[in-house]
Amino acid sequence: MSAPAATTPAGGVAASEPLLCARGLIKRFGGFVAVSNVDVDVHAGHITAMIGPNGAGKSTVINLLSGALLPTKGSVTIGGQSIVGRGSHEVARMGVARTFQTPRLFDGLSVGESMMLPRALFAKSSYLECFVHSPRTRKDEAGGWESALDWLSFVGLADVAEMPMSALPVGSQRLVEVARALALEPDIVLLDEPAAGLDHTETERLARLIEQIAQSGIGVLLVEHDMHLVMSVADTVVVLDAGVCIATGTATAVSEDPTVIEAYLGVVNDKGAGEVKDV
Amino acid sequence: MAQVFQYIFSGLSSGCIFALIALGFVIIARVTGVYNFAQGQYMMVGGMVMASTHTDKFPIAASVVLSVVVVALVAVLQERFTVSIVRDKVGVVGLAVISLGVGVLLEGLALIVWGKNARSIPSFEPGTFTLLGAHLDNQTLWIWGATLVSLVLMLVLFQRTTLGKAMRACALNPTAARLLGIRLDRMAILAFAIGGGLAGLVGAIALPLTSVSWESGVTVGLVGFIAAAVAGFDRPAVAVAAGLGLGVVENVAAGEISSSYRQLFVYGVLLVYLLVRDVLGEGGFVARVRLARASGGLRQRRRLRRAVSAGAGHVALARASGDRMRREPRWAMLLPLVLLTLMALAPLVLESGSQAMSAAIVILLSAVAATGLTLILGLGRMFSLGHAGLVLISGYTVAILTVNHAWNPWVALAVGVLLAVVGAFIIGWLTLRLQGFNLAIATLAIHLILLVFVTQATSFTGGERGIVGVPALKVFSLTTESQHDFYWITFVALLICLLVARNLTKSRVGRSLRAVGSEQDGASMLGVNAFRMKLMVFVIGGAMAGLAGGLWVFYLSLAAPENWGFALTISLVTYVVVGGLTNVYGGVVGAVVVGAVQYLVTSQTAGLGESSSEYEVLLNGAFLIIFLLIFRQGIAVALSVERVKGYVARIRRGKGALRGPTEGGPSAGPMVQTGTAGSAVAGASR
Ligand SMILES: Nc1ncnc2c1ncn2[C@@H]1O[C@H](COP(=O)(O)OP(=O)(O)O)[C@@H](O)[C@H]1O
Ligand SMILES: [Mg+2]
Repeated sequence: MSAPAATTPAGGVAASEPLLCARGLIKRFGGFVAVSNVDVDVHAGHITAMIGPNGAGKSTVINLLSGALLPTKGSVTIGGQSIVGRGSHEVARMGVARTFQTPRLFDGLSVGESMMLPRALFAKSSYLECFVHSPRTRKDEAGGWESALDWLSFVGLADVAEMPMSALPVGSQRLVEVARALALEPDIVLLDEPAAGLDHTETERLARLIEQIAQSGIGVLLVEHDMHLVMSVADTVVVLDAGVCIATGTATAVSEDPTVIEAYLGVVNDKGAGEVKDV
Repeated sequence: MAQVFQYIFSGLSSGCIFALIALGFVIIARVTGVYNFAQGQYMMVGGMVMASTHTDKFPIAASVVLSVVVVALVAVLQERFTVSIVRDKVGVVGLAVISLGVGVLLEGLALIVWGKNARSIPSFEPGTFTLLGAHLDNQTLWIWGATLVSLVLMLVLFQRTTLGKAMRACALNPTAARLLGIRLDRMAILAFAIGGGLAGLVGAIALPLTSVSWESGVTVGLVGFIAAAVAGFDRPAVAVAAGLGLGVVENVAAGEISSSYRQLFVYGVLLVYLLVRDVLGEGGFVARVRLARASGGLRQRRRLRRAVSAGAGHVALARASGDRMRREPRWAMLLPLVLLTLMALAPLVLESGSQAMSAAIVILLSAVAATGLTLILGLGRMFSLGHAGLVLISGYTVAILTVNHAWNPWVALAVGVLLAVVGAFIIGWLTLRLQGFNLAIATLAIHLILLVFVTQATSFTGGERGIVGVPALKVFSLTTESQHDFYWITFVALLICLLVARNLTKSRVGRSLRAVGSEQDGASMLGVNAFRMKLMVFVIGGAMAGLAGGLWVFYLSLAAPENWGFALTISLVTYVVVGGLTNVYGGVVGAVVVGAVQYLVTSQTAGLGESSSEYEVLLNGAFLIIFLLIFRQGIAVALSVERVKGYVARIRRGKGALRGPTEGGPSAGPMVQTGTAGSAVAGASR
């Protein structure tokens, strides 16, 4: 069930070839099938949302797409290249960035320093120069810091650069994660429940950010519980339940799908209070 | 054929020793979650108690019981005074390093109480018997019997009794066990008592066929650890089988191939086992390649290509108001500068040829190697126990090239360092994929293999006597024949190492490694190649070890195995822990502080030997334990910029919060407390 090429809200037509294309993904943990035969497409400049109840396998799909987990079966290609068997740092270099459902805090690094991690890919100096702290290394460091600040101000957090991330409220931590992912200058970003723990205004801001990201040509896969957010930004919605893809289509089409209403939307009302912290 | 049975049966006997040690490992790990590196030394203590009571017209049975009780008591003391105190404060690696310290402490005590010489006793009932054509000492039956009885008892305990089940529950799920009313502390004491008792038993019973000396625990402990690791630290029967298997492999190979290299076979099997399991395991190399093939080929395109042209998706950015890079305060360098200035001035007050001068030189050489280990342990968080092996590679290279081949000392030194680098690269490439203790075990095994090699390849390395007559290294008017000149040369080497270590730590490499240390998956997703970063730091650390080794040879003007044994690794680990893992100056600070204390104590206690005094070993162990128990961050971190700022702020505020600020700066938690180490171990023990 691949996402059809659709028109983006910005008016541009998504490329006919998906940037990221996963087919027949299966992931088993021991005997337990967490993801079973799922297809996902992410197009440039296009927002694909993935929804589903807790434990549906959404995070697992993101782990499979980003190289964090090896699929039991199935293929994942990015711009035509297979990423199966590649480490996640390689996938990151190929232009796929992601955030985590539980933000990675990097104890011992300040927010700004952690923002500089992805900028290492753009460093001009060699490792040998790092040993002697050459002028070029210094320039890289200064440049990395500047762009770290730039990306932080993009998400509205330029003033927290010198703080440890654990000191931030969870909403800001999620925004830092988004900024960090963008600092990789990726072609695709995978966002794992970025709105969890955000208040209403923060969610609004996040929605605008996501649209801005997509407008710049980046393909977005948005895993989300917040139906309001999904409905407002997603071009295509994929619904997972118990590891199986039960529906794909535009937000309106999916929200009217009886299977989806039964499997997921019915649950929406009980949920919302309990935020499950998993990877 | 009888010959083969001979090897197999004597292999079974030494296998029984490994098996009982492994059984102790498994029981302690299973109940308390502690990987007890003192297990081998337990056996040594048991053997020593047996040996010293046997001569006193004491009934043999009483001696055996005494050995068991004494060692069980030692183990319980260890549990009470180390494990129970810090269990919730340090990670699995921290607990293991403390147990390493306990092991060293026991060695030091044994050296003081029982002296340097190896001891043995006659068989309980002298005589031999014949089995399938093989002639065996009567003692063999005792060993086999003891192993069998112990295994059966343990299996019954864990599988049939409520007590055993309660003990198991402790490690599986401590919280649930506590809720069920299981007294965790009692179970832990019991587990240590049993693990210790088993080691004491095997130490006593195996003594007639082996011999015991203060340092005989290390190798037995290592092999026992291997067997326990094969059993995943969980299955007693598998641990025993693995122990027996290793014993048989060792003896058959020694008998059929070469006895001088007998230990080599065990370590070789270990290495191959660890590496193969890593390659074949879940998510290992083979699985990755197979899946990659199935889904379109891993090497479809050799170079990684971005999906679209690089950075096509570049979000239009609001430029931040150009904040400048954060800088350290100017006085950040003050403390290291004071320390280094004092070190530089040391020769001015120390007389050439005095014991103090020799001690200062050894401290300086150790500081060079320890600086490398600080990078490996603290920055890379790689629990390497083979650092002295890299020192050895370079040391022997320099000695062989200068003495046997009359090379120019400088060229030899360069080649020595280069070979240490190559060695570190190969060792790192092979072992850094291994997680947690497997890395420690593999690096230690490689070091021991090197030691066996330099001791046995007599024509090449001079064997035990080593290579003597290394010429002097000369630069300008300085020559390493003069102790003062040597000190200056080494001091310059230390400065270079510190500079490189500092630059590396502050650069993107250091930042990436700190990120990997705290959340490896998160760092990888940001493009950090954790393996490459670790390998790089391992190699740089190795180069520093090589530099230390090369210079060491010019100081001693000889290369001998005993200079660069496992004891050196322990010393270096001690220095790093004492000085502080997370600070580049940690190794130097530790070397100076521990070295100075050792010198003061040894010069007070005896005027005999200068280097290998009993108290040195003892102090190493004591330092290791005390610092891990009480000052986990080490001296250098306690005096680092952030801390001092914190102290100052606290004094200004009066008595405010108890703890200093931990936020900001690279000196957060020491490696022993990290979750990464814990989860690494979970992977290792699977
Ligand atoms: N590493 C793992 N080992 C075993 N089971 C896992 C693992 N990761 C996820 N699971 C299981 O897979 C299912 C899907 O999890 P997840 O992808 O996190 O769901 P979601 O993100 O949709 O809430 C859950 O039942 C979870 O328990
Ligand atoms: Mg999830």
